[in-house]
Order: sequence, then C-alpha cells, then structure tokens
Amino acid sequence: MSLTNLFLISSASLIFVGLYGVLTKKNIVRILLSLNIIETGINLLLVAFGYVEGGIAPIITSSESIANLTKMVDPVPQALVLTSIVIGLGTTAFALGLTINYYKNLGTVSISKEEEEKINE
Amino acid sequence: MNKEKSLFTNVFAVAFLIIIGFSIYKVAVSKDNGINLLDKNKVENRVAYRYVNKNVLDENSTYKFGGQAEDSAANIVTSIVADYRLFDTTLEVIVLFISIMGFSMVMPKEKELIKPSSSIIKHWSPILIVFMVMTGFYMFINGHLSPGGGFPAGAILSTAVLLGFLSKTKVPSQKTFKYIEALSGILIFLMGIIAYVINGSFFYNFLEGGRIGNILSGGIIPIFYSLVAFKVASELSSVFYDFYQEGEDYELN
Amino acid sequence: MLYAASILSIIMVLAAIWVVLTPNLLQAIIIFALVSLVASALFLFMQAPDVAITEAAIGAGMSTAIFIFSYKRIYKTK
Repeated sequence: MSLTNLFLISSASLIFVGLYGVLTKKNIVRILLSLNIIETGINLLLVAFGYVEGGIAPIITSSESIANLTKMVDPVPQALVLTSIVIGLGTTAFALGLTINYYKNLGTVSISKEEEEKINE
Repeated sequence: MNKEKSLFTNVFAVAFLIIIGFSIYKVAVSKDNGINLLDKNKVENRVAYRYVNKNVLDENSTYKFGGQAEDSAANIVTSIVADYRLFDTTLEVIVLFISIMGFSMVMPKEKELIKPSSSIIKHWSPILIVFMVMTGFYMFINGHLSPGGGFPAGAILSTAVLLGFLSKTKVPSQKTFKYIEALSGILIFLMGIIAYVINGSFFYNFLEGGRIGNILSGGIIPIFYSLVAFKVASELSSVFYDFYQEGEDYELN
Repeated sequence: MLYAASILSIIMVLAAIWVVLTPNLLQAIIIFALVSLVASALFLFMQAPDVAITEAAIGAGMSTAIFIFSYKRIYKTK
C-alpha cells in the first residue's frame, strides 16, 4: 500500500479506539484520556490529507528549493493544526479543574451511582 | 422606578437596532465602487480565484532566494499563520485565554505544599533551566526562518518554569505572570489598531519586508510571534500555581 | 521508508488500545505519553516539522504533567 493510505488508516483507527473508550468507561479521568486520544487522531488525519507522494517540507532554504516548488506538501492544513494542538491542552486543563471540584463535592469520580471506583495500585 | 428603567432600555434598544439596519441597507444597495451585496457575484471577482491562478514558475518571475517577494518569510507555514490568516490566529489566542481563565475560577482554593525534591533535581536544575530558556528564546526569534514559531516556544518556556517550581529555585510569583499576560494581549490588539490607522485595514503588514532569508525580514511577523510566545508561556505557567501552594519552607510528612 | 512508518503506526495503535483497556489508572497516563511521542515522530514522516515540534512539546510534556498533578490531587491517600 502507498504511504498516504497508511497514514489515513492509522489516524482513523486511532479515532475509533478513542471513541470506544469514551462510550464504555465509567471513570471521568479515563474518559478525558480517551478524549485526548481522539484529538490526537484528528490532528493526524488533517495533516495526512495534505500529503503529496514524494514531497518535501514547505521551507525555503536555498536556491534549489525555488526550483522544487511544485513538489512541496500542502502548508494550509499544517497552519490550522498548529493552533488546534495548543487549544486542546487548554480545554483538557479546564475539564480537569471541573473534575477536581466534582470530587470535592460528591466524594467519588465515577459517573454511575451504584458502584464506587476501586482504587488500584 | 423599575417600570421607567425598563421602558427606557426598550426604547434605546429598538433605536439602536434601527440605526444598524439602516446602515446595512445603505451598504447593500449603494452604487459606488466595489462589489454590491445583492449582485450575482461572478467567479472572477472572488479572492480565491485570484490566488489559485497566480503563477511563480514562469520565465519572467523574479521569485528567488535572497530577493524580494510579496510575503518575504522563508518559512511558508509561518507566513500563512502570521500574515495571511492573522485574524484566525488572534481569535484562537482569545479562546486559549478564556479557557485558562475558566480553569482559575473553577479550581478549589485549599492547596498543599510541595514535598521536598530529590538531590538530583536540586543540583542540576539551575543548569537545565538556563538551556531550556535559551532554546525557547531561539525558537521564537527564528520563527520565520526555520521550523518553530511562537506556540512551541511558549510551551518550552513554561516547562522551564515547571522545573524551577518543583525544585524550589527562585521563580516569579503568580501576580507577575498575570501582568505579563495582560500586557502582551493589549499589545497585540494595539498593533492591529496602529496598522488600521496607518494603512486602512486591520492587521495590515505595514513594515517593509526585506529579502528572503535575512533575520530582519517579514514585516511585523517577528514582533507578533514574540508577543504570542510570552502570552502562551505566562498562561501555561500560571496553571501550576493553582495546584500547589508556593512557599519557602516545606513540611516533612 | 514504508517499513519504518508502518512499524511506528502499529506501535501507536497497540499503545492506544492498552491505554483504554488497562485497569490501573497511573499506568494509563504514562502510556498516553508514549502515544503522543510516536504521533510526533509520524508528523515528521509526513514532512511537517512545525507541527512535530509543537506536538512533542505539548503532548508529551505539558499534558502528562497536568494529568499527573490532578491524579495526585484526587487519589491523595495513596
């Protein structure tokens, strides 16, 4: 298989693994961890859509980069993903602050009422 | 008293909406230069069409290394983030600011002290902090010539602050970081307003671009990236002060 | 080039499955740092050095640190 297909398949499978984690787990910290895996997978997918076979990085370093201008990969998805990674960190920090407040008021970090979370070591 | 106040507010709101609606109507049907809002817009008038059909590879183009260009930063991703789409980057900086502000409001206020650190961290952290700060400063100064930019530089600087915080070397307090963040944010918008006053459009690149490959090229791109790096670094550093309490001495338990 | 990229992709997907299925929470947080590191190397294979530096500095550094701080805040007797 070609290199583009490999990148697309691995990013999509990362999204599905994270989606399974969000749907079936009951600990809030574990749900946030799976949400972060989904975000990493989506960023990989966006950059993989701009890949050109046999391409080079979009930076001009010398005179022969100007001769190879048509072989550069697409720079617009990279510019969008650059700020998306930093904002993913911001929303994760906010969600963890809400989790600590939830633990202080209710005494448990589980979203179901019957069972409490067993603390393993 | 309540009835008078609400009547005044309602009348004021309706008058304000009528003024805005009248301005939009005048812009939509006026017959001056430019494109009307109610025209059937032709494909050749769109901005995307003009950019797609631009060609720099034919025989009489002067695009070469060490020469002038429309946007003379050597890193093409930087020239998209900080010149062609500067509006999107500014709004994302605002989103980051709001989420970190919400984090500070939501965290409970009882904090503990940090336990004492091991001797490896205590002896090697001053040397490591110097190297980390140097790497962070290099990365936003050369943002338009090599990979990097303002955002990873802010993350590296805040990791240096975290190392200093865990090993009890002297780091600035939380109030200093809040002042630096507020000052950088005000200066970013002040730069946009200065560009509006000089040349007529918000965030226009008003300094002259040099040659491709110099360190003083790219107009306002190095200035903008320095402000963004300081803002992101001080925001991510003030997150740690909400988890643990800073203090000079520690308790052994 | 194709063999190196495919080995790294398989490591990344297996580590992600391990994060979701393990019952020990501290182990899951540390393996998540491994997922972020291999994703940063894959960004370099896609010829995007800006994004690789940003993902390495934020995903493997700051995000793991904030998760461990909040873990110690919640499970504070162990």
